[in-house]
Amino acid sequence: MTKYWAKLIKLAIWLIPVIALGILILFLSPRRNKQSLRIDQTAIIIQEINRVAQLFTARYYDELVLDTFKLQPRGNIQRFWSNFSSPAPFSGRVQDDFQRVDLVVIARGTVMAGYDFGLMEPADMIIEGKSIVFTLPPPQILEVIINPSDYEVFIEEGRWSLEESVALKQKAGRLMVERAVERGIFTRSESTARAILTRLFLSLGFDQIEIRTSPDDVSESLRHVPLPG
Amino acid sequence: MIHPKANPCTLLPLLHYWLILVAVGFLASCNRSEKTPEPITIMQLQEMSEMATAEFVVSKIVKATDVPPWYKVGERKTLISVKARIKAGIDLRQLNDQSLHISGNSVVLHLPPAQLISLNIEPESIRQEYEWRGFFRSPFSNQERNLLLQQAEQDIRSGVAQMGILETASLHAALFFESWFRLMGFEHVEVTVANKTLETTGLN
Repeated sequence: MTKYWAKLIKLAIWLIPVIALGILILFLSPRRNKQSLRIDQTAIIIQEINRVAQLFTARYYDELVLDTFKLQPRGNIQRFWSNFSSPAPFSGRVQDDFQRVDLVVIARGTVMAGYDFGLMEPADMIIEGKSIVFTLPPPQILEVIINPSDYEVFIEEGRWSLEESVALKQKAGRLMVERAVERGIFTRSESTARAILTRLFLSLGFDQIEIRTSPDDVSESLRHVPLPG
Repeated sequence: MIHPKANPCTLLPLLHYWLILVAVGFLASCNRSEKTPEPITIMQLQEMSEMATAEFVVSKIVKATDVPPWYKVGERKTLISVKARIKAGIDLRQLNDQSLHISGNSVVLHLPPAQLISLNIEPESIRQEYEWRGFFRSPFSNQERNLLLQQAEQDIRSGVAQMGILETASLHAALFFESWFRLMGFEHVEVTVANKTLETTGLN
């Protein structure tokens, strides 16, 4: 009987490390963390081709951390553990049926401002001999870009729908536009546009160049832009 | 726990065996070391001098299947549709003294080649069209969905060259400058893009 146990223990001494090593390698393997997602190749459909004339003159780069939370019903097992761990006087509360779940994301984005020359009228460019008077339209936010590669989910507890994630991205976009305007994106945009146009008109042989700005103020110009959300 | 009468010498192979296993385990864990990426420094507010002349709106369906690893049961499938707005045009900083030739009422403009200015996958254009999952599987997380969307973004970005957007942007830029120069009073206007004369007559 003792021999039998000795054999069994010896076998265990040989087998346990092999199993432990197998589990260790499985969990440490970089392949474990790789997605098992198979993404099929699908076509890219061109839906529209538009002719535009937009002068991009300023770019603002920003990085934001956004968080949101919601209350989500607890599962039966979680409720059981909650009741098990809470002292009796506190169990049975409404809060015990719900749990707070957080979503924290890091959004990097680019806000681009400039001028839409497609909105210009012929009267915005007055030429007399070698002099030119050019009226710039109001500067606009032309693009707010937060692409999937600029977006990182840092903490995701519970279940969050795609729509909830999209809403957070839209909020990030709105915040970035506000911050870009605060940091003077329109002022930078105008000074760059003036420099570009002056250089161009000088090259074309004009010696008297006047660049006017449209009477519309900056807040008015924001209304032309479909801001995210 | 070893048999009391066992010879200590018989334990030596067992000791070697344990040492080898520990060494293998240690080496396996060493493979996980990752390189720390170099920090990137970017100016928050920058100047740009780019004239966008073509805008393409493209759509793509992301079709993905999650084939489970051995320790999970059941598949997951998802279909997500995305739209991207791509703008291309000319970098005006590349225009120099040699780009513009004027003689009397004639002007010749040499434009630099068109380039991609922006690729924007607007959040509101992302839609979950369909999702299916096995009984034992949890729904796709936003992290997983974002990985799929990143793949779609990469596909669209690498497909830009085949879409003809750069050629369209060059042509539109030529049309824009031609009509501008005519408004300024030039009668003969010729626009070339990267040493290629564009036929703009009749396209206005």
